[in-house]
Amino acid sequence: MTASRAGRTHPAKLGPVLRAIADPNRRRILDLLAGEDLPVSRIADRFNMSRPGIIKHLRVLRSARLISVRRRGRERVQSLNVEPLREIEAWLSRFDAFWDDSLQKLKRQVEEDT
Amino acid sequence: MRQIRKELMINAPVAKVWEHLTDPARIAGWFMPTDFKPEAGSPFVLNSHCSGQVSCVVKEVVPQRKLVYTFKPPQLSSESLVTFLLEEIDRTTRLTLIHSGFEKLKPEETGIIDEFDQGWEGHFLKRLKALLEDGK
Repeated sequence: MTASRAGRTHPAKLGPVLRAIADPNRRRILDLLAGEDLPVSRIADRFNMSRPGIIKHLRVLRSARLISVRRRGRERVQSLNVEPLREIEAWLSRFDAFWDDSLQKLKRQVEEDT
Repeated sequence: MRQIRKELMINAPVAKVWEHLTDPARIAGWFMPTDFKPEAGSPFVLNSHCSGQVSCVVKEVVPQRKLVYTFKPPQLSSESLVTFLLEEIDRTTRLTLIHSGFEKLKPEETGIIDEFDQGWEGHFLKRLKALLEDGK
């Protein structure tokens, strides 16, 4: 990548986020939470999956900073944190923009030389 | 999926474009400083002084028509493939760039790239974009 675009977000930081969203069930959980904050029981209701299974996925999402948890009485309410997704999006669009930039520079350089 | 494809018209003959694609001094001007040699099988690096070295190996050289090399920036866990195709049309050049080979990446990396290409199940990306734009 070019000096100006790459390396701002350290790839090691993105690893857990990429792993977390590589799983379709975890993406579904994020999709649910994009609509509203939900307690674990309400998330489990929407899935054909055991509660421990859901809790395992939530743990992965939490360690990737994709969700945060707060207590409300006896419930643990899960909410989406979009910041890590923003970093992923920036990382990917850099790739595309990197080629746009480089090829435009090539075009200018060649045409000036002709 | 798993490729980025760009096409552009350059107002110059292919011989001129080829020079800028294969001469290290000229590559440094639009891309990165390099020890590139236009010989199939020869390794080279592209030096990005901020984010480190991109490791490459020349795969195919067809003068003024096609140049292929492997491309492994530090951000990716394994090499990908960069292809330049040149075609002359009335003294101008159509240049096509294809960046492919992302399927060699680790499962978690291909996961994300696949999803982006297919537009994500349930329009997840659209919703994500909306969220980002709302600045939540």
